[in-house]
Formats: sequence, C-alpha cells, structure tokens
Amino acid sequence: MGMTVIEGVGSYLPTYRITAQEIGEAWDGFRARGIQEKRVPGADEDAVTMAVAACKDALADASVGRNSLTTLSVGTTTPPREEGDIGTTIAEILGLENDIEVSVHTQSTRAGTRALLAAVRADGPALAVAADCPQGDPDDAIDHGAGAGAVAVVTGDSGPTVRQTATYTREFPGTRFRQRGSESVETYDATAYEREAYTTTINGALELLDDVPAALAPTAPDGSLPGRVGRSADVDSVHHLASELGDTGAASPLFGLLAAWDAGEETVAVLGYGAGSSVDAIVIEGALDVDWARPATDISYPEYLRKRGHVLSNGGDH
Amino acid sequence: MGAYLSVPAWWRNLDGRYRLVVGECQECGGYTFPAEGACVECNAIDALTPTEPEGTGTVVAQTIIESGAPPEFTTLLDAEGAIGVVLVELDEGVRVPGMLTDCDPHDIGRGDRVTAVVRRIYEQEGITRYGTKFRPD
Repeated sequence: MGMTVIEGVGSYLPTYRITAQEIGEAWDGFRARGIQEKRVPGADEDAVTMAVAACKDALADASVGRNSLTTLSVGTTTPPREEGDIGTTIAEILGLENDIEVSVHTQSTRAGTRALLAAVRADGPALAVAADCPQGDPDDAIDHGAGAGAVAVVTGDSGPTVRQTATYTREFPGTRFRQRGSESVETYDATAYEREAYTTTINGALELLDDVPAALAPTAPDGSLPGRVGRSADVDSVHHLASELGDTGAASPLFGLLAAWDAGEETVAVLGYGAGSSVDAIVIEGALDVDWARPATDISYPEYLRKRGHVLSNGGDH
Repeated sequence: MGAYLSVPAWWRNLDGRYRLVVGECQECGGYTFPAEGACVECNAIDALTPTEPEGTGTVVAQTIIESGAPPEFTTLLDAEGAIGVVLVELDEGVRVPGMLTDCDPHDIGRGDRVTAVVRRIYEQEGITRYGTKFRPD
C-alpha cells in the first residue's frame, strides 16, 4: 500500500441542540451514558445534506479541487433510501465530474471507516465522508443518545499520512441492528455481552498493528464505552466527542480523530467499530488544524419530537 | 392543491437547484437565474455562460407560511411550525427565490444576510427533491 496523505478535513453539525437534562426531565432520567448534549437534524436534513455540508467544508480546507477528485466514498447507517444511490446525489449536488467513482458503505457504524479506506485505496485524490443521524425508540437509551453530524476527508499530496490499516471480524449477533423497513436502531440489550463485543473486536484489530499508537479514536455509541477500550488496551489517550455530540454513528470515529488532533496527538489509531462485529483500524501520523464548533440553537423535548417525526402522523419525511 | 412539478422537469435544472448556477451574460456581464433564455439585463439571446455564485446574499423580500401549505410541504410545516419564503439578492446581483432554514422565520427580514445550503425541499411519490435553501448568517 502506498502512503496515502490526508490533505483536508471538514465537518458539519446540525444547528439544533438538546441537552441530556431536557430529555431526562421528559423521561424521569436520561438513559444514555456519558452524554451531556447532542445535535438534532432539522426536519429538512438527512445523511445526504449533512454529507454535502461536510464535503464542502473539507474541499475548502484542501488544495485539491473538486474537478481532480477520482473517488467519492460515503459511509452512513442512515441512508434516506434503502435502494437508490445516494452517492450519486451527493456527487451531483457537489458538482463533481461524471467519471468519478462513487461508492456508498452502510449497514454498520463501521461504514465511516469503510468510506475512509475506499479513499485511502483510491488511485488519485479522493473524497470520503461519514454522515449519520441514527434514531431509536423514544423511550430507550439509543434514542436518548442518538446525535447527528458528518466528517469529510480529502486525500491529496501533503498532510498527515495513513501508516497502516487492519480489519478484524468476529460475529456477535444482535449487538446493534435495525430491521428492514424500520427507522429505529435496536440492541439485544445485554450490557456485558455488548461490552465484550466492543473490546474484543477492537483489541483484535489493535493486535494486527505493528505498533499501537499512543492515542485511539474509537466509534463512540455513548460516552462510556470508549473508556473500556483504553483500559483493556492500556492506552491512556482515548478521544471521542460523544459527550457533546451524542452518538454520531458512522461519523463518530472521525469526530474522535478531530478531537485527538485538537488535543495535539501526533499518531492516532482511528477505530471504526460496527456491531455484529467488525473493526477497521487506520493509523494516521501527523495532524491538521481542526474546528468542529458550529452555532447552536437549544430546543425543547417537544420540538425535538416534532423535528424527528416521532409525533407526526406519517413518521416524518425521514 | 400543490403546483406539481414532474421529476424530469425538476431534473432539467439540477445545477440551478443544487448550486444556484446562474447565467453570466457575455454581452453585458449581467446575471440571469435560472441560467436559460434571454439575459434579464440586456435581453441578449444565447449569451449566458453558466457560473456558480458564492451562495451568499441579502434578503430583499419575505413571507411566512403558517398554514395552508401545498400538500408536499405539510410534513415540514408540522415539524417546523412555520416556513419562511424569501427572495434573496445574491452578491453577484441576481435575485433567486428560496425557503429559509435553521431559524424562526419571524426573526428574519429585509436586509438580513443569508448563505445558501442544500436541504430536502420535499418528498413526493417516494422521491426526495433536494435543493437550495437559505440559512441566516
């Protein structure tokens, strides 16, 4: 594998924000661990619109022009259509060339690192984006923690390098899934089993690496689980943004990378965990300047229910 | 009743819907939106070159839909409470219509600065129509 270089990075967060306290007051307790607040997509947002916004931000950060891109890879667990290529929609909105190779990765929160790997393996400048807005049933920890956001990466000529990649796979059925036709993410809800799936597969991926970096950026379904990886892998520096963004699904390990760079880390293992379970480990050496802060408007829990479609007769547009 | 627009008719102007591509007149330098037909400034024919504007501009006219929206917009109205509709003069000088997003439209008026973003406009026959809206700066 040649040395792929990450030349630019961008991100997007929806404007609307709700606090754990606001949700907790509606349900006599907030059921997701380690999350203080999260962002909520507007009724006119979805994985496509968030991906577009992050891609524009990343292209503005890179010297690679959109016309020289050879590949667009998209990762999301929440494509707004079950069939019908959302990658082409994103490419068209961005005005990319018609000969670009487009791929969409989904079905697992590992989709974000799958998209990044597709860009890393591309022959020429590539654009990878992870955009996600998971939902659960309103009374469960998954929905309480479910956030939204997108991170995009442009590969090019100068910047941090991808030093090594590895993937580890072992089946743990039922750890996180969404049934066909359903909007709600579910789990079998056996906490010890889910923790075992998470730490076993992440440690399996780390063992495939020549060296385990001093900093990890794992998928963060909540603000608590990532800490277990740090303890089991004996790494002090575990970065994620779940406490302020909630569960950003496929985008969460890339938000973790931004947090690691912001903290001054030099070498980071991005660990895309997908329940079921598989882990992509992508070791990145070097850093870029990052800024994921976006203006926010706080909303109430009733406003949250309306924006998410929980109380609309047809379930909302998405 | 909504003003039904077929998907092929929508598709023919995707550049304008997604990126506000305007026509720059090779005769007078003026801009026309959408980028088709005669130049609105000098009436020159076949003189428009497609150009992407920055997507920033100023609200010049505004109205708010609080009820009675066309059927394709009722879900959005239920979710957001009110829909702001604006005419924006882009910094290139051309005026384009659009909806507001990420704001209470009652707080927005003439002279306010906005930036174009791409959002879901509506869903009809199972097909999502994406397009440009305006977000206050």
